Amino acid sequence: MRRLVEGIDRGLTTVVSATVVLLLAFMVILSFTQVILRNVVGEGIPWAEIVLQHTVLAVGMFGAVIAARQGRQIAIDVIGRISGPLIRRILTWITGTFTIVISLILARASWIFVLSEKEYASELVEGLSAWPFQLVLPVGFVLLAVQVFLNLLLGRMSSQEHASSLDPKADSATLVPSDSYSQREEER
Amino acid sequence: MTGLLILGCLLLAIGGAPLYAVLAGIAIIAFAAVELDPVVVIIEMYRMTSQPTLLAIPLFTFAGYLLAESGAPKRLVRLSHALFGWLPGGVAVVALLVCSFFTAFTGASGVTIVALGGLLFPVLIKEGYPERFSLGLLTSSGSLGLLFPPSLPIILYAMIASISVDQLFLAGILPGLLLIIALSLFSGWISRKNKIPTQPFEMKEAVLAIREAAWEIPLPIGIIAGIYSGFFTATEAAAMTAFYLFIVEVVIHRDIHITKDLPLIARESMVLVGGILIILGSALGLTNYLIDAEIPAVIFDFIRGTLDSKWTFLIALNIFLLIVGALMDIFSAIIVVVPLILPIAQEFGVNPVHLGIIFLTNLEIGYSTPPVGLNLFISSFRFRKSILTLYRSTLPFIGIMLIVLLIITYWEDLSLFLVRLIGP
Repeated sequence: MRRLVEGIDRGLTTVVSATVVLLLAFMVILSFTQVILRNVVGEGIPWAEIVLQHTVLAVGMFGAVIAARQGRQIAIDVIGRISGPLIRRILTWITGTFTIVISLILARASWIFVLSEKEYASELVEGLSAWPFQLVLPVGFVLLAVQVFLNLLLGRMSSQEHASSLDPKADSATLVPSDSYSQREEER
Repeated sequence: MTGLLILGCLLLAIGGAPLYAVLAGIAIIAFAAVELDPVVVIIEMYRMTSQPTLLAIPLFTFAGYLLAESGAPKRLVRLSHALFGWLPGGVAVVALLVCSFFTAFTGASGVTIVALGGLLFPVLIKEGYPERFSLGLLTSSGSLGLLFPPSLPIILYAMIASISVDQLFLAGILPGLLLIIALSLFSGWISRKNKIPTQPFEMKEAVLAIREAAWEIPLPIGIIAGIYSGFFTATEAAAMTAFYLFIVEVVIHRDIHITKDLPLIARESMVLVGGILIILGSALGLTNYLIDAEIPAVIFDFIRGTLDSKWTFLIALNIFLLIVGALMDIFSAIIVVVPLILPIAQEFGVNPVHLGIIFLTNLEIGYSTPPVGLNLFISSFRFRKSILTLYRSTLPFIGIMLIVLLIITYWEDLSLFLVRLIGP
């Protein structure tokens, strides 16, 4: 059973991470092209700006899913910092359940929002329907709920703000909790 | 009932529930009380996509991560050492400058301590600076630079307060420099007191260091000049910076491997962006509710009784923001507090651009303020020192920064001078 949960967790992370990286690459390239076109040719791609702003929304949602997986969601967490493991464990379950409920309410609300936008046939620019871009909201919130649920099943502690960047073992730049990176540094 | 549910959400917040869930939860409950569907929260959240500045957030964050993960920290330390090492307190000044540069680009405070602390701490100790001084310096300079372009908190503040990012970038420069100068003078004095020898200026090393960092040096100047010459907007500057740094760090310097490191760096930078944006999105619904319910006006009427002038208001604001800065991270603090404070401050006649600088300076200091400032914890992990040692180490630095904060708060022109001079 645990194996299955771990598998789902890993699969989800891989897909979401890959999506985020591709979306970011798309943003960097398209926004740069847009600046060049606007300053050299005098006019940019008409749909670029609004599509880029929606890409930010998508990156934000998926980035938040990874943050949930890594226990790096921004939280205030005054109690967690000062309490022992048992209380932390209980708190993790309570706050986790709360997060799942809220995320599912938001998922349902954004689904209703998308349906109504589809009905009104809203467009981002002439000829480009808005609703496929807005789908990222319900999808993102469902994934957030799923991820928090997986965290609870796998016994991950929530509320470890900036946990990975706080790793005292790491000595060089450690924004990225990557083995390959630090190993490569040592090889040099 | 509604009150009880909201109280429950607040309790969950200090119990460690993600802030986005707390904010969205409160908004859902508040809207339900006036019989509105949670769809309202989503409509407000979706409004984010009509903000052109939004794109600057992921692009500058990615650029900052590229910079931090590349060999740039080493090159910049070498460069500023070669250029400023001869000053009294030279190495300390180097630390201040490099930390500011990095924070301006990475926005998130902890990143600077983590990326640069390990590099600078041994250097400071080797030069003979007292350990406590070095710790305090690196902890408090972990947020120095927040006032310089293209810092993320500035962009976020401008977005939420609906003021021009360009103006706020300009406004932060002089107050930011004042903070650095004040801390540099203190470092010079410590260096004298401990009889730390100054090093002679070496032309050859300076040339070598400049050549090595030649690709990174034009960055801050390019961004500022590009924006103020009207050549591009802040968002376009972000697009240029991200692309430029990709070419420099991945293709030219090859510090970052395109398949092994780059995807991880991209992902990690977007985790930060996701964390911020989802809070921003959830807070928009709540903000809308609070403004509809005229909560800022209610608070204003309430404090009007005790605070009767702009000056007493600013003092109270400073104290309030220092506490907020110590409790919350800077992004959530801006997202949650700015919409409440801004209308009140305007009633008292505070300029919104000036307010932004006061706000950010307070949060910057709050980061290192005991008992729970985030920088203290990050430093405690990073340098493996007890939190109490860090409390003691940062006190003189906080003292100096508080004096500068008072100057920034009560000398409006310091922030607005450049805005009036160059601003559109």
